[in-house]
Amino acid sequence: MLFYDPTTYFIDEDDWPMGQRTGGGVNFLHCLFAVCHKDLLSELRKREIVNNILFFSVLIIFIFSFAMGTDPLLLKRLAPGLLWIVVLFSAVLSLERSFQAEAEEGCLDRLVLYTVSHRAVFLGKMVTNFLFIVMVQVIVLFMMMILFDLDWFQNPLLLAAVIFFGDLGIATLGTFYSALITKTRARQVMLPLLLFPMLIPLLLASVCVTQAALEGDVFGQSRPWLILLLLYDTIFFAASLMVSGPLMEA
Amino acid sequence: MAGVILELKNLGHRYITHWALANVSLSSTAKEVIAILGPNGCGKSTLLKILATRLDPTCGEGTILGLDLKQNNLEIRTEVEWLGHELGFYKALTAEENLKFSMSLCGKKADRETISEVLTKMGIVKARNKAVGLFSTGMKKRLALARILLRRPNAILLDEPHANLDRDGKQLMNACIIHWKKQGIPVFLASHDHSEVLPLCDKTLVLNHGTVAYFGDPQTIPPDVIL
Amino acid sequence: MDHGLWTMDLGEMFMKYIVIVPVVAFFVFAQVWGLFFAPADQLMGFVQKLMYVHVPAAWTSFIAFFVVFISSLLYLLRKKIFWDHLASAGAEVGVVFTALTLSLGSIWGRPTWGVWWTWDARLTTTAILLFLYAGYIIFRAFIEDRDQRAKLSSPLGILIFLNVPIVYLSVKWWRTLHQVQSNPSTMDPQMALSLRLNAFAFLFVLILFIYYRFRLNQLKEKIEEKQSLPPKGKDHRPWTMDHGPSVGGAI
Repeated sequence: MLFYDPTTYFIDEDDWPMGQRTGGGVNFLHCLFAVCHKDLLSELRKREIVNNILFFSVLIIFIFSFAMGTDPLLLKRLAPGLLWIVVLFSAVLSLERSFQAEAEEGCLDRLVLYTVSHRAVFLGKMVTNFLFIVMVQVIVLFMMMILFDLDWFQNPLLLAAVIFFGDLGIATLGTFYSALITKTRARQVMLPLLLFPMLIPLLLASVCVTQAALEGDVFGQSRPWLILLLLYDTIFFAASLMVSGPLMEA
Repeated sequence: MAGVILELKNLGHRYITHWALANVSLSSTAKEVIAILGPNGCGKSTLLKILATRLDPTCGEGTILGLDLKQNNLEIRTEVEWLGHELGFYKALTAEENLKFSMSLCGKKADRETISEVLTKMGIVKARNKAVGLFSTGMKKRLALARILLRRPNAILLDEPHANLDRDGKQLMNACIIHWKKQGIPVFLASHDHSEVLPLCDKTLVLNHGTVAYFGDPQTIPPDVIL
Repeated sequence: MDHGLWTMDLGEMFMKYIVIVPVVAFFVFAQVWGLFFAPADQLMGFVQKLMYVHVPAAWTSFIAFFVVFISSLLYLLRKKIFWDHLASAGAEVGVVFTALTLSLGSIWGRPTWGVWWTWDARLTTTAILLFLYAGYIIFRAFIEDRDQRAKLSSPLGILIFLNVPIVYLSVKWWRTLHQVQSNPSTMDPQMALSLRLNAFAFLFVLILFIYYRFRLNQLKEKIEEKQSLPPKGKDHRPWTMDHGPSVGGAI
């Protein structure tokens, strides 16, 4: 088991083993960790992210390099944009898969019916999506550093900050949208269609800050973008958490 | 509120242009096994889903265990367990992990021994560490029964409980239902196979095209009612 | 009900003569004013008059999207399908006006700047808005169940609108990094009058369009209800879609 280990409890009654009688509130964090744990365990068994999506994102970097030509300076300049494009497309793939497993076996019903706190389930899903997206991004960044000779010693803190907050925004809105489209008919097409326009401010901000982190930011141009990113994350985190209740109910 | 277990007033559910349920009114005060029978498409599953608060009724109102279906749906969900056609297990996780996850969602604790006992009673303890994706449908149903036993709800809704079960499985299901009745937990079964279910139940509700055709003692079902 | 010229009912007559005719007349008047009575611009000449339609179209589309936001919020709070119909109507009309804004902006840009498209902050934001709300409409089209559609599209409507100011801000900043031409901001009072006239004309047309789309949604709902009569009581014949409303007496 990864994180969660339930404590012991004694059984009562006849020769029929029974669980604990109803009563006692459902712990929010309990639920959240259970959902995270379950998702991470599933991923460990199925290895979809590691096998498919990571490979796909590294492949895209190569394809891009072939398409854009051999000028190393040009590639270096385009690197921040490329990084976030690759992350966006990989994120869409991993988000689709996140709620698909639930919808397949009718587990989504069970998630809604068993827990009293829809927000805990939503947050749990969001945390696992966030972890997966960060993992993909870090590996892609590493590959790009090798291939395009990027300089991360410039400002590693800023780089870490933009990766954290950028991926948080993608995970928040991504989880919201994938929960939304689980019930509709055309799943594959809808997610990027709905998600990408919403992520445009995040894309602009993240690319700018990444550029500043990799190439040096003499004029402090990236500061307002970072603030915008934080504002964006806060607004959408709060908003999607607030509407996640009615959303899961539908 | 002792007494009224189930009370429905003019419950109706419309899906786009088709009324799956209409004018369903009944009330029951005893903690007993109620079988919902009727031909395919008469609204049995819809009724169970509404009682489980998985669907909202388009019109009418009702209470189950004294809790209103529209207002108190969160409380109903902690008391009531629903088992539908899709059993809701994760294919990549083992039986034990699935049970642990379900229990932690409900806020109940389940240790290894309890899970072992339940799985032994259901006859699938040897598969406890096998991924549920490899289970047959009958085994998944037994696992679902184990989940209900662990969760110990105050009312149980079963949609086609005898489907996909072999003879042993059906006997196990019947034993579970009788056990729950002895425990005082009301059980609502929906089935299109009346021969399996009629011996078990205390009351029968027969639906026809979404309306109540008969509600009462299984011994005295009028002959013209289509089961 | 025979709708000959003499047998229209009171509601329809009201709509036709007291609402539609004045609104259309005012709209035509505003266009005529803008074309012939407002002074021509010094720099841009006649082409500048496109602004009288382009800018009000942008404003009204924004109002329509605000309507979507408020209606979605109210649906979540009140759970009445009325609000969902209004949200849907607002989104549809808003998308039409946004498309109008974009195409007019493009047409205006060609003689003025020589290009069909500039990455101007407002124009780009409008394009993103078009994507967002067209996505909203497409999403709604994929859900058949009325209640589920309402419950799923209201959170969407709320979140989309929250993004609008952020998109505008970020695109504006992004543009200042790339130094593209800015729009003229000063305006002759005569032109301002023409603009205001057009703004009101567009507002009235917007309200009319939203009202009609909203009514259409409500009527569709009524038709669905009428088509799906439930059987009455215990003495009924089995009901199928083929029989339609004539079984067992209508509601």
